[in-house]
Amino acid sequence: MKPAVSLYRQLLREGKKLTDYNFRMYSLRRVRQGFAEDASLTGEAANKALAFGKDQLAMLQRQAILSQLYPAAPSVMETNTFETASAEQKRH
Amino acid sequence: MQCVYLDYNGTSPIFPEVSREVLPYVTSCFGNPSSSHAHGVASKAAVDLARKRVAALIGCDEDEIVFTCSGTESDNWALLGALRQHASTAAAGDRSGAPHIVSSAIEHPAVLEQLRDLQRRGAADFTLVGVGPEGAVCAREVAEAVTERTVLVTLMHSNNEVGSLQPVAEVARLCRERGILCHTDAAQSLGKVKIDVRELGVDMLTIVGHKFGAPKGIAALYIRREVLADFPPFLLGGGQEGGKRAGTESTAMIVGLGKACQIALDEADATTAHMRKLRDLLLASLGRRLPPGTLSRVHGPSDVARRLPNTLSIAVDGIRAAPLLKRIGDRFAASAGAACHSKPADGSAAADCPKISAVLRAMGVPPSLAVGTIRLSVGRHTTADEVERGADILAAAIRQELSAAA
Repeated sequence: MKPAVSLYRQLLREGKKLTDYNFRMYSLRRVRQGFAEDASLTGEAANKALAFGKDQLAMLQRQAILSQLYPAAPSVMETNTFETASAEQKRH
Repeated sequence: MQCVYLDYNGTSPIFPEVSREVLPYVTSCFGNPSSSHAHGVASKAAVDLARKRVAALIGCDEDEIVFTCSGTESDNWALLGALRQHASTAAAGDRSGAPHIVSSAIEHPAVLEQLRDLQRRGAADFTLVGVGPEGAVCAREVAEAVTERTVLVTLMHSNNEVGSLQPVAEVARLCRERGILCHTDAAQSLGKVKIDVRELGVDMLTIVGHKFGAPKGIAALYIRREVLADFPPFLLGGGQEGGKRAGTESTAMIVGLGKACQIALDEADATTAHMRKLRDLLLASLGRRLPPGTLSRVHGPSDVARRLPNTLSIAVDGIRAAPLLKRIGDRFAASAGAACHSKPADGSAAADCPKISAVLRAMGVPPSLAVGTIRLSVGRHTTADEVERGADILAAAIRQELSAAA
């Protein structure tokens, strides 16, 4: 149980570092979904799922570093408000 | 600022796992897969693995996959290869008149333009079968279009604009009964719906990487083994791809396609469910934000089983979708059913005459609705929050345009 919990937390931590809004949200959703689906696994199946999770963690860690080196532009989803086209025109 | 992206049918982002897989092949692993030294062997192993992954996605053998650079190349090769193969057979000597190809009115320009060019050159003629109001052909009409000179039927697996799934299995069956080759362009389908080429029964199938997470510039053509043996190559040269497609293999891109295929296979059901949920959420969200009756029509099949799970094509009477999308293009990405304008043939100044999509025209959509058609398409990385925000942005723009016109 403990290795799975530790892996889960690590995956979420690395996923949160992705600067691209869509990739970040996808990775968090996928991690939660994956662990929910495999929650009841035991024995060999559980070990296999853990091994897959560790591969994914390594992938996420690399992508998180790359993402910090080449940060994505902020998404409109990350702004607090949006303007209508006319408001934007008036502002300019 | 990155906008809300609802144009997955146009192209998809390169999935993070795909770019991770590609990275070594754009940095340190640069060997030519045809070279016999260690650098080449490493690249060849990567290409072989990618081929295995592509084959696994569509249920074929690895040697039935040939990598190309684009869906356009795959489609062009399928058409031209079928004609050349026919010309070299004994049956060709008996023919009177040019060989004949059957296709649909809603195919990608890669197919339609090639057909028109073949006809212009007198190399083949063709019949385009129309579609019904939901954007799907009738298999019986395809059968009726076949003549004794027909050598190929090419029918897209699903339509990019309205998401309609075509009766490819039924058409492939009638082709097999009559000894006619059958090709399908599955560019829009892979990564969204499951495809098994043995069940489908086609002889050739186009795969396009950038529609489901691979980079642009990589595609493939599945050619059934029995057809592949005598199928003439499109590009001649160094004998790569088993002599079927010359040109040094783009290892990095091929690796990307392979990984995208592996993801599509592993996550098939989850991705389809996610897309369907968000597509339906998008329709409901727009409906809540617009006055009743504003959404004049939802194009494409109403039956979930007969359409792509991610595509939503809506029509709003009274708006011009292309300029509207351009105005909000910094915050919202989608596609219009009509281009901004078409150039008059006489070279005069362009009047405001929108160029309506051939697909919508084939479906019989009135011009006023075609001009106001917006194609929205969600994908693996679309979020529910994004769908709600996108609905906010789009609905505000629609309301503004309708009130300005009133």
